Amino acid sequence: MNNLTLILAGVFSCLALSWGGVVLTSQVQLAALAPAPTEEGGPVKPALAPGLAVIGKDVYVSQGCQACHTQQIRPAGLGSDLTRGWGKRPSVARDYVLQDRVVLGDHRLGPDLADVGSRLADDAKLHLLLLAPDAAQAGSTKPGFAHLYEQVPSDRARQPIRLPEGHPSAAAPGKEWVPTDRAIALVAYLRSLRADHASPEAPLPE
Amino acid sequence: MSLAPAAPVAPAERPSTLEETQPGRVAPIDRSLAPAVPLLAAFGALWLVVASLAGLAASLQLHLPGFLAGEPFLFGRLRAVEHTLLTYGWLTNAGLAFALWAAHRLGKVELRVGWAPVLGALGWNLALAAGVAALLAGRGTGVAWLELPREFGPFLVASFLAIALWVASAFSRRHTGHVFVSQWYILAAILVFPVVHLVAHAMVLRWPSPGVVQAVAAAWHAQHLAVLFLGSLALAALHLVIPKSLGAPVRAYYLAPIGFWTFLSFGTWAGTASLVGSPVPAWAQSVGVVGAAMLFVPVLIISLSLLPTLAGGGPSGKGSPALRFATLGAVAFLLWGAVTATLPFRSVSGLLRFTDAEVAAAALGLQGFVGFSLVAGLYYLLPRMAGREWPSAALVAAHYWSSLLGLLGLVAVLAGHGWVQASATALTPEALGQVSLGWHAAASAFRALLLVGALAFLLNLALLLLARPARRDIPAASAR
Repeated sequence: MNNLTLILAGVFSCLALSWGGVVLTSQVQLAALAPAPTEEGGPVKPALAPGLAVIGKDVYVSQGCQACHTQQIRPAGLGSDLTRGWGKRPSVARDYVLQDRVVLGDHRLGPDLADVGSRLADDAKLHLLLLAPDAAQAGSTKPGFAHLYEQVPSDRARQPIRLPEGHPSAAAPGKEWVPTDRAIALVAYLRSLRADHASPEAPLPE
Repeated sequence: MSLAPAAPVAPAERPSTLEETQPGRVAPIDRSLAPAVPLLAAFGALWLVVASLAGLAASLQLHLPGFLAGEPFLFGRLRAVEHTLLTYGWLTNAGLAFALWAAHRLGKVELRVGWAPVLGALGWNLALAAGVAALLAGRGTGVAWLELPREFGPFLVASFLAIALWVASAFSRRHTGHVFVSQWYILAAILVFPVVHLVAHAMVLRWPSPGVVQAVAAAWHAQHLAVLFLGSLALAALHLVIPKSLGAPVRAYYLAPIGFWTFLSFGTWAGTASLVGSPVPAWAQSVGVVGAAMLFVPVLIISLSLLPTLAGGGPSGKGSPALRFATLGAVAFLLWGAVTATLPFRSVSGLLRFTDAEVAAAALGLQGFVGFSLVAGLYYLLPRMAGREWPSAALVAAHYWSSLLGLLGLVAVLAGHGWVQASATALTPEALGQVSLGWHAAASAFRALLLVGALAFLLNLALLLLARPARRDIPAASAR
């Protein structure tokens, strides 16, 4: 074993075999996967995300949300994702076919977000969770993202985010918290994250 | 160091070092490597400090919510900075410094084009500095091990090749008939990085594959960089530092080729073990689980020759810092192999996946096995290049004990917190968050200890490299 070419050729074949066997074969298997009707004649899912949600995804990645949140619901028998109510069915490969960048995530300090859009279908609640998490959920240790919000004079504030009296992050007197464009896009993205439709590989439980 | 199969009989007596047999040959080789190797080592030590700082800051944010609460220093961004600098910064620079030095010393050849690796080192590290700025500005990709924006990929590979090609060249120009085990691992490592990084860069960032194929490609890439690139460099360091420091050959040498080829051929399939339960094809998950379990075979084979060699001792090397770190690296290698083989099993993965237990396993592998082994390599080679001993024994001891206790504590705390996360299914997320605060605080304490160790190493390295050059033709006290 003292021939440079032989050693490098051996190492390269190891890499090529596993790439072909795992990565390329996955690609061949999944390349044709496309959105499918949820039932006979039903709507085709997953649907394309609205433009605002596409912008919001960049905000999600840029803020580093994936460091604490996953977007994959594990099947029954592997963890307690379903019993915790993070989704009605496990995530399947078809759910991700329209995504340019798949952000499955590999670490959880907070809940899974694959189906957050159907759990939290309320813009005001989502904004409150982002601006001052402990005001939305007592005892929450989630960090706030106040830099995605701004304070404007009360008379110019449309749909202000109200914090409880005396909250440390409460807006200054005569002012109100309102979301910036980035926060609005991020909330639109979170609302678009839904896995509450039946998929050929994962029917909804009766 | 034992001989390769080309010389079928492993030497029974103590292997000779170049310093003893041909002292006149060493100085020109070391001189030819002089700017590149210390430069890589210094960048590595510097990035280790910055990575430890980022890791500590991110950890502090988990229990002190107001700490560094500004947009550039968000937890997720700091974690990406920490991981990028730990792997591409510290471990890669240290590994390349060792590979460049070992390839020329073991082949008994001089580095011909001294400026090329220096250019590569500058290119690599300036790109990293720009990459850290991009990560803090929120331009990260969010893909583990591929965090830097996509324009960095080709530049990193080009800089890498400017160094790695001279490693390969040293091998083909070598003056020795036989090949050392370390040289196999070094050759494997310098091929793995450019090939795997370019392929994954193309499939995940440049021309994204459809849907979750990206996750499969990213997992394949992460496994190859952690185990077959950084892990191979670490094994190269262990196979050189242990026998040379002890002055005794590696035991059970006949196992070495089997260990090398099984390490590569099993390790290459283990990537998808990190995707158990994910929405990727079930067969791909199973392949990964089998690969990770089978990877324990080479881990055992390699440990069966390294650990008895360490236990047997040798005529020299007692208490040398290189040998002490190599011992830690070899023990961490065996533990990491056992943990890596166990975690992907369905029953274990169902509990511990996504928890801090996985972070603990990664720390054991990257900072324990790879980190300690490459530190051993640097402790071995830098005094030889500088021609003098490490300036401060106290700083060596501080580095050793801080990083040993810091890593032991960090791994224990993260594993314990992982277990709490796994078993707290009855708690609301808020209640679990309150329980976690104490664990996060303990993790911060041990991360602070790791930072102390990194600072001691950087300071000692600076003192060693910046002191007045010694005359290199006098056999140094550090020749052993």
